[in-house]
Amino acid sequence: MTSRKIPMLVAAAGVTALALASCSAGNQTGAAGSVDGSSIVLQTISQLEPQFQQYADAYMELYPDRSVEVRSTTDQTDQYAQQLATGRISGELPDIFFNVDFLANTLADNNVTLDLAPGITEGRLGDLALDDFVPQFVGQYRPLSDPEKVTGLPVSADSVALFYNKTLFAQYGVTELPSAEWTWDDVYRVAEQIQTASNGAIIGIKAPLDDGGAQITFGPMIKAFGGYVYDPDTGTTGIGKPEAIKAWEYLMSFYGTASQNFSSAPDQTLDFAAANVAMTVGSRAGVPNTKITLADDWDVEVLPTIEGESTTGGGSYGLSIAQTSQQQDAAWAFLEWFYDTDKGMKLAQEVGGVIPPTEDGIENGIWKDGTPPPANLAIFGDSARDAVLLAQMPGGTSSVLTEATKKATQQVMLEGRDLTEAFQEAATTVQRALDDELGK
Amino acid sequence: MVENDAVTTLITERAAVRRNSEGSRTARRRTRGTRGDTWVATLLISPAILAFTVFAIVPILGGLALSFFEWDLFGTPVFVGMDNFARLVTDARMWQSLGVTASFVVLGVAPTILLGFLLAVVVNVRMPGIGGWRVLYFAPMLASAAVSAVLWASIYNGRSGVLNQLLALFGVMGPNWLSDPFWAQPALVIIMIWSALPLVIILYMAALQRIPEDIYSAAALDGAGKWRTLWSITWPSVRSATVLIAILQAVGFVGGAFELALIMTDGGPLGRTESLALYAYKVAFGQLEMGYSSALSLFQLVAIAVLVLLGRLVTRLMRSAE
Repeated sequence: MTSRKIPMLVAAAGVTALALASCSAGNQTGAAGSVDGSSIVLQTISQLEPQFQQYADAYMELYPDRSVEVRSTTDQTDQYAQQLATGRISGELPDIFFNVDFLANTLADNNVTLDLAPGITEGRLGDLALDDFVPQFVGQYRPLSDPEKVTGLPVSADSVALFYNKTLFAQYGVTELPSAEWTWDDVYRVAEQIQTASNGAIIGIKAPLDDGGAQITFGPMIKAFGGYVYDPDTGTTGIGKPEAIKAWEYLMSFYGTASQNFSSAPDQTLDFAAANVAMTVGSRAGVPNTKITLADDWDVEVLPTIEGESTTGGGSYGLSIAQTSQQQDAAWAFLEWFYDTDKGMKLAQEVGGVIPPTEDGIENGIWKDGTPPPANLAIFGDSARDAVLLAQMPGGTSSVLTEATKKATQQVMLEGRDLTEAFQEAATTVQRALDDELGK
Repeated sequence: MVENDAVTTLITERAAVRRNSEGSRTARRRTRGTRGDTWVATLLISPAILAFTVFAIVPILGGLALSFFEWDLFGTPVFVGMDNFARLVTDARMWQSLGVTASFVVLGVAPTILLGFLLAVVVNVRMPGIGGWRVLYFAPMLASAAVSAVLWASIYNGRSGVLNQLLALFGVMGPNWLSDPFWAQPALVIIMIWSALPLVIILYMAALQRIPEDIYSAAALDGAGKWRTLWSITWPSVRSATVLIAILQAVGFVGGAFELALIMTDGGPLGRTESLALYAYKVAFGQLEMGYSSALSLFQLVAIAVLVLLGRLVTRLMRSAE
């Protein structure tokens, strides 16, 4: 490359960077707009598109002069962030969009999402107040830097429970069914019994730790043992501390005896709905599909406790309004309709399998209705209330955590590395990422 | 005589002038023609140049620019100078993923070339029904990485996969291929070879069909057998195609490792299948560090450029040796 070309290249790169910088600064500001005759865009992931289209259709039927265009995009969470960023740069962020806990903080810090707290206080959601929402679910959308703000509203109080196949229990001579009094030791004992009796053809319980990255399982488990994954007050991770080590040891004991052998590439053929797994930790969202697919008799039970503490994980995707929306009043009007127990939320319970994220919705909602199995569907109400939701982690550190725990699990299971050493190293990696992020 | 000479000279001079005049007219016509060709050629290639600029040059410049910034996709990029490149040098995971990328190339390129050449020779014969066989050989080319991944994941499945069931027939207990620190990478390499073979076969077939038949006839007269002909005539005759294929495949294995590993192993186990591209992807969209990811991508671009330049150097050396 000639010496003349190098400055040209650097200059071109500089211009491109400036262009990116100016685009990403997001200089567009939002506007109230008008509700009558409004037209808004709602973006969700493709998996949820059919149900959101039904919500939009019902809304437009009730308000014919208002239009809601539902756009769907990738189901891959990492690519979803990219889609939102592209929308931001091109000035085409949707008015309302799907939000998720691990992105919520980044979106809030960069002024992508509107603070909904003042609007809710002003009565933008009708009679619904912030206090009506289950605290831990709405807490996912409170920015770490300013917890008074709320930049998204949870759609469903989803939590996990123990799914079990009664037919397989009977087939392998197990008469004892899971109950609310069960401990994790009971789960292990029965799972091992079924797996042994079936000569490995049936998996006792699908490995609760999965490939090592199942935060929804290990988070509450570590907390139940008295530890923590991330403490926002001190900015530290506790995944290498003795309490957490107990949880890791316990979770890993399942591989190969009560669960499938460890695999870093999860086996997609192992599925509770395919009747080759006797028990699994599943979420309420998985109930409709299991009802369709699994012909056996099955039911659900709350997850066992450890030392009296809940090990139930949970979470919910949320809906946010873009700060740059020119139709903020219309977006609020849609959310008011959507969160109304007799309007949008009723439909969401019917067609979307949603558990309303409010105390009233959990208690009095129609989500509990329906023909068994599962007969014990109502336990998801208690599970939602008891659910332990992990504290938000700043920036991309949640991803670093997942990578680190997967790696530590692989080191222990595949290389035979000492568990404590492996997870202490993982903790160091996560802490370094946290320090970098918080030191910015 | 003098007059005759003068007339002759005059005629010769006039003829020369006429020839010169005609020559310059032809040259002008040629120049006009060349200029016209240049315009047509420019017009015809301009869409490709435009597309290349928009979809390759500008993103590369954007990536180059971003590598000097810290950017989380949503906020304003912050200039950090050479920090990302300094981090790159000290990042152990980067070196591990570079090693993984290199081993994908080392494990994959030579077998692809060898198998591709042999299969091209096999399907290059003229016999009834060979068209059907050729279609079968080219079928993997139609499968996307996602489809290939699903297909091969079921073959490699440790519990119920075809491969382990076959091994069990011989009393061998197969490993969990995609989760085994030793076997995961070779398992992916096999898929990549399978996907790459159709293109390699096409390129070799094109090269094989350019070899003059009389060379084979001469070799036959000299009593050369099939293997002797294959290694002493056919293989050297497709040498330039081999160099091209080697470069294409080296670049292909650097990039191809990304898609399959992302879908099938997520870079595991223990980072054994995490190529540089996959690491850059995770840094960008998992950790939201676009600047560092750009630095990683740029590093990979330079590595590929070095690889291509080495390929060209080898070609030149071979030509000069010939």
